Amino acid sequence: MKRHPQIAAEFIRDEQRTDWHNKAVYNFRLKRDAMVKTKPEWEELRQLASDIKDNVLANLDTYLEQFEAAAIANGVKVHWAEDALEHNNMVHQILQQHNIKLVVKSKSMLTEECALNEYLEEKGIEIIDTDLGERIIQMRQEPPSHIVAPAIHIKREEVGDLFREKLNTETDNNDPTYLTRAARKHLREKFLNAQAGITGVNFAVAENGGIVIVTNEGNADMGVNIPPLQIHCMGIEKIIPRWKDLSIFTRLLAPSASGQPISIYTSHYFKPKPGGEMHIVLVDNGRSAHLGRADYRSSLKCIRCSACFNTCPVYRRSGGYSYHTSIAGPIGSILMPNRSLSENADLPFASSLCGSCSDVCPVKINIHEQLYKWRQEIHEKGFTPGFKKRILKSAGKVLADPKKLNRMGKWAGKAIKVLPRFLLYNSLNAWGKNRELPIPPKQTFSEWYQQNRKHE
Amino acid sequence: MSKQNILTSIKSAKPSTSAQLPNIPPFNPLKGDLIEIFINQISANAATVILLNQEQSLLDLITQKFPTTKTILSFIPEIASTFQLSEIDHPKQLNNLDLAILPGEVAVADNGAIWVSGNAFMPRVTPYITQQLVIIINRKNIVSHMDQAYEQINLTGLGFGVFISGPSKTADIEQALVIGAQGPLGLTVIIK
Repeated sequence: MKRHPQIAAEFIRDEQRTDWHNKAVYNFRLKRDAMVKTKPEWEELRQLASDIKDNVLANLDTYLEQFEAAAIANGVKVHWAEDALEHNNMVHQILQQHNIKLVVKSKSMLTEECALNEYLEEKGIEIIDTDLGERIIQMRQEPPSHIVAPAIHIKREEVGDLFREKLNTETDNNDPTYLTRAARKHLREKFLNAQAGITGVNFAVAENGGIVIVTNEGNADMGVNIPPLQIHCMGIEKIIPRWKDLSIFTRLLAPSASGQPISIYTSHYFKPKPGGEMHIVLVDNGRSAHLGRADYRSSLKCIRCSACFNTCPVYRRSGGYSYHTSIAGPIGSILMPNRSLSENADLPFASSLCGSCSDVCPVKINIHEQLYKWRQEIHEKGFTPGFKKRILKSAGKVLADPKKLNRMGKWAGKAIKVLPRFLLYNSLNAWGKNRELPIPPKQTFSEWYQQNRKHE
Repeated sequence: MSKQNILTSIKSAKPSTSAQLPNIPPFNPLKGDLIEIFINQISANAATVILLNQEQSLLDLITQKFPTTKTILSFIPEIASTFQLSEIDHPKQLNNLDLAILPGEVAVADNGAIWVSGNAFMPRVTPYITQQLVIIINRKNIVSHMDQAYEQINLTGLGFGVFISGPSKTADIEQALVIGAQGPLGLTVIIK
């Protein structure tokens, strides 16, 4: 399996595209900053959101039962799934009971995590992603590369080519408005003929059993409100206690995600539509185990805004696919090792530990500290790649011994000056692959110190 | 069975700290004219805003603004629909609906969002499937922040409700903003 460094190396081979991707993603960060600066209560909102989520994690079982009871009283059917397979199976059973052949789905990272589309397709059910970006990547048979902007890595010319092939759009017309209208027409037809709508869930309110879904396109609501059957799939950590808590989270989510004050549609569903059926599937899939790991627990507070992606110098320049998981970026790099450490031990190293992710997180997750924590655990458990292990071991010996450190410092300074390039820049020097080694100072600090002390 | 397993697993995993649920303080109201701030916010989302003056009737305004509109589904008493809901037997038949007119319950100046209660209209797909959407909001019901809005929303018997802050939009192709994604192509807000 290819790891982050290898996939990232392939990504940055196209320098122009890397720059383009970096700028496109950073644009979200700039918009976020501009919006946040207009909100004097921003830090207060972050603290409140963080405190509410801490309370949720400490009482998750109680809130889930409260939510279930309220939802059932509203006429909703509630299901519990321990893992991805049980979730997929449940959704399939509901669809099968209604003899459903065509389903429309709006963006949901949970169903991505569970690979629901693939599961249903194998069972002969057609499932259409209806968010424009998601439809684009579904047509390209690719996973999302970003949790909010799934097609951020694709250029308009590529969308144009794709739509010419799939939707018969005009030759050479790559205008985003024209292409969006073509998709609108195509998706309308799917909405009108779908027999069920599936969505993810942004927030679920324990005290009244309501769920909240946020979109700009209106696709989730088109999908849910035309056919009689609606199914909402959510991770168990999406619960918030009170109705009024929504007033905090709805003020944080869109500004953090895209710099909008709020998304176009913040839809609240409590009861099935008249004559319809509404199902909610509560999914654990490793979350309760994750809750038990104190060092990483708080990453379950994540509201999937992607602010940490957009600010991350590594994500911006390596692309979402380099993380080889359903959730990329800094938050994915601490969530995914909780699922499987052996498969994702490379991810906590895909960071400069600059801490910008923690600064922008609307629920104040200490992302970079958890990345650092993971690195230590990965090393202790023996998952560090062999090369890195050897370097760290010798570095550890040198750094622990002042005499050795002094000798090495002097030696390295001289070596950089006198050795030919081919000896300095070779496969052993991973740091120097794309960087020049620093120009060594005339003397080391201890040499300088001793010299100047003598004169006193 | 799965429910019990999940709950048992959470009980043994959750932190022992109590982590108090914080009180949400009332936020300072926005400085300045709430109507003006609201108009600025929702206009930034490409909505058209009209302040209704006292001499003008809603009917005149709508006729003037949408002169060629054929099908109208209205849920405000001043304006009649062009057809009866009993004439359709499936929500998808609203696909060619030109204009839906809905009452807004409360609007938020801080972000331009308007709460539309699901108790005020049916079917639920109306505000999404229509080509053009008009929301009427009373100037008295414009508040500063979301906390006031959530407090004001009437939850009695509510099955569904939505905050709407503009016409549907997307920026999924190279972040180029396109107004009119899967929902309405335009939103007009009338403040009376």
